[in-house]
This record gives sequence, C-alpha cells and structure tokens, in this order.
Amino acid sequence: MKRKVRKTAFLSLLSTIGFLLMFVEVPLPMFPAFLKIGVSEIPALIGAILFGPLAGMAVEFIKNVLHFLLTTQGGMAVGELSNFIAGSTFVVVSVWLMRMLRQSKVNFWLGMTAGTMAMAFIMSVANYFIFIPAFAYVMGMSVSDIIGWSQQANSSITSLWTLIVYAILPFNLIKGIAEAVIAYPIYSRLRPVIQSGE
Amino acid sequence: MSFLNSIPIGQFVPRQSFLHQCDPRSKLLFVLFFIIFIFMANTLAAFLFVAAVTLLGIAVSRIPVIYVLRGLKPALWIIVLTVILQVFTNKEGALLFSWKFIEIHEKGLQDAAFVSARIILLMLSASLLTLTTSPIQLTDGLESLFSPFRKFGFPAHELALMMSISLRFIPTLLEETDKIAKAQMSRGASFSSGSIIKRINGILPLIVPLFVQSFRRAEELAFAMEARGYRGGEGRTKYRQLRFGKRDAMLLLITIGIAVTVWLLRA
Repeated sequence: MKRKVRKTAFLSLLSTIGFLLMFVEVPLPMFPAFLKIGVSEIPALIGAILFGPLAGMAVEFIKNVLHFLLTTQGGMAVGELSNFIAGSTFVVVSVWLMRMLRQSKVNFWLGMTAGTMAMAFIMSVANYFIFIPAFAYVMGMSVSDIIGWSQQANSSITSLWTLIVYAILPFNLIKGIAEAVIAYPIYSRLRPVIQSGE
Repeated sequence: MSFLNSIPIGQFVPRQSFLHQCDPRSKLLFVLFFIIFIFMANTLAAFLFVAAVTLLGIAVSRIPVIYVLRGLKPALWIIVLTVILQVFTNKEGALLFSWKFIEIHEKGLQDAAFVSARIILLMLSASLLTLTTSPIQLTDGLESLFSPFRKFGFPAHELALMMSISLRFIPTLLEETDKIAKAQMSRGASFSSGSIIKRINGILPLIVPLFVQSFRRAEELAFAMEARGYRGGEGRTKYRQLRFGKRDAMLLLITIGIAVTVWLLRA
C-alpha cells in the first residue's frame, strides 16, 4: 500500500511539471507553426522509469487534460489528443525497452531510438486515418484539396502517404531526437536522486 | 522570468448563473452533444439556430463578453488559414473578382464564411464549459462519468485524485521555479539569450532542481496521506457531492429540444 500512495503523490507532481513544461516550446523552422518541439515528455519519462510504462502514460494523460481544462489554446483538444498519443507512445516504448535491458547509457539511447521510431510511426498512422481527414472535414475541404495545396509547396507530394512521409514523419523524428538530447542530461543528473528514492 | 507570467492559466469565471450551478457531468455531456449538433447543422436555418443557442448560452452564463472573445484568439490563425484556402482554391460558382492568377468565386466566399463561423461556434461552446465550471468540479465530473469503466481496469479514481493534486501544486511549483530562476540568475545564469544549444543548457539548472524539489514535496505528501489513512478509492467519502438536480433535468430537456429542432431543420 505504501508504494501505491507514493506513486500517486509522485505522479501528481510529475504531471504538474509536465504541464508547466508544455509552455516551454519552440516552433521548428520549415514546419507549420502548430508543430512544435518541447520538453514536456521528460517528467512522463522519469515517472515511467520509476513506476513503469503505464505510469508514464498516466502522467501524459493528466498533463494533457490539465492543459485542455486550463488554457485557451483552442477548444477542440486536437493538440492535446495528438500530444497524448505521441508522448505516450514515445514514453511507453522507450521505457519498456529500457526496463527489459540492463540500466546503462547505451540502453538509454537504445530505448530513446525505439521510442522515437515508434512515435514517428504511430503519428504517421494517426495522421493518415484521424487527424488529416478530421482537419479536412472541419475546414470543409476534401483530403485531395490539402494534397493539392501542399503540392505547391513541395512538388514531390502526390498523395496522402507522400504528404506524411515529407511532413509528419520527419517532424516526429526530429521531435523525438530533440526530446532525447534534452532528456539525457536531466536524467543522468537525477539518477542518484531517483535511485536513493527507490 | 518572462515565460512564467505569460502562462495563461485558468479560464473559470465565478458567477451566479444557471450554467454555473448545473452539475459538471450534465454540462460535460451537454457540450459533447452540442458539438455533434453543430456538425449536424448543414442548412442555413439549422446553423443559425445552433448559433443562436450558443449566443443565448453565453448570455445566460453572465460571463463578460471580453473573456469569451479572449478564448477565440488561438483560433484566429486557423480561421485565417481556412478563409485563405477556401477563397483561393474554391473555383465553383460565379466569378466575382479576378486579377492575374487570383480568382475569387462566389462559392469560395460562402464556404469560407460558413466554415469559419462553424469553427468559431465550436470554440465558443467548448470554452463555455471551461468558463462556467471550475477545474476541480470538472475533475469530479470526469471521475464520475468515467467510473463505470473501472470494471475494465480504468483507474478513474486514481487519475482524478492525481489530477486534483496536480492542479493544486501548479501555483506552488510555479513559485518554486521562480525562486530557482532567481537563485540561478543571482549566480549569473541567463535564460533568454544565446543560441538554441545555449538556451537548452540554460534550462538544465532550472529543471533539475525543480525535479528534486518536487520529489521532496511528493515524499512529504505521501507521508501526509498515509498518516491520515488514505487507502484508495474504496469507501472514501467526498466533501463535494455531485447531485443531479432540477437544473440538470432542465438542461437535459433543452438538449433534447435542440436535437429535435436541428434534426427538423437539416436537409
């Protein structure tokens, strides 16, 4: 029981940090303004390392619900939903792999790589089936309108899949790499604290 | 710290109104259904009707219009984008204006107006929920709505409790961050200048102590919860009780009324 109460308290505080870190984000050059990279996956990552992959997912969930309830960033929750899907995939896959292997520097990066690739893959699928069609529907256009429009920016885009390969996939790969690069120094500095708390 | 002050937290505006006093669960369900009704309204009459209902809702909530409009600000770019896309790519209907390669058609203008009006309505109805309901009430409402899923292993109570704790610690951790930032600045750290790599390095001495402090607070909180005999959701009583009252029955009738009207008006 003691562990469960501790878990509740730790995950709550980690969610608060995650929520606050959601406001620290940088738009990437060359990508649309709503695609931003941030550091808000780090608390979920640490929660997952401490209490298991599902705990990381809980942090992602709470952080996004809070963001939806408390900010005026668009009432439709699309940003929060995609952040939740992307963040959970990243955290769950990377920590699951890290926990299977021995704790080491190499395995940390191995986990991060797997997490990044899984996130890029899942986000591509989610955009193909959910986000782009939903976006087109709300905007009152067809998916082929969007493709035609993106074609003017990049002539290699000829279908929904090529649009995803040129826009969504590289963005998520960059996002995952940036997240890992920032997470590593934080994680390695926190490791003594985490281990003493275990 | 400039970014700390710029965080737009909290939309709730306390007032005495019909919408404020409704049960958060019925409000959550109402907004969910109303969003579906907005998408169902595919004729001008039906659309004007849902628009009128939204405006009536704002009037009933007694929330100053300026707060409501502020909620629309983030949607501005999406509306501008819609208008540009519709006006310049839609080539149906009579040609109204042409200059070099730019052609504006009648249908394009119509669709642009309709789609942006719909986005505005969606944003307004969603923000009406967060403007009239405090985050704590929303958390309680969500817990109650999701509690049937506990049978399938969904931790509704735990998530709601963590959400309330997390909510309560936002101001505390903001203050903590501010203190840490000041401590680091007094040692000569700078957070808002230099290249991206320099800035990331600047964030580290801010985030690492924040984590350490939060872990300490979480530890204290866990002890406090244990000392007071917290044993999880089973058998726990609540200070704030949710009740389905007369107002909620009225809101339910209103929802049914809107549904029937939209159904009759649509093509």
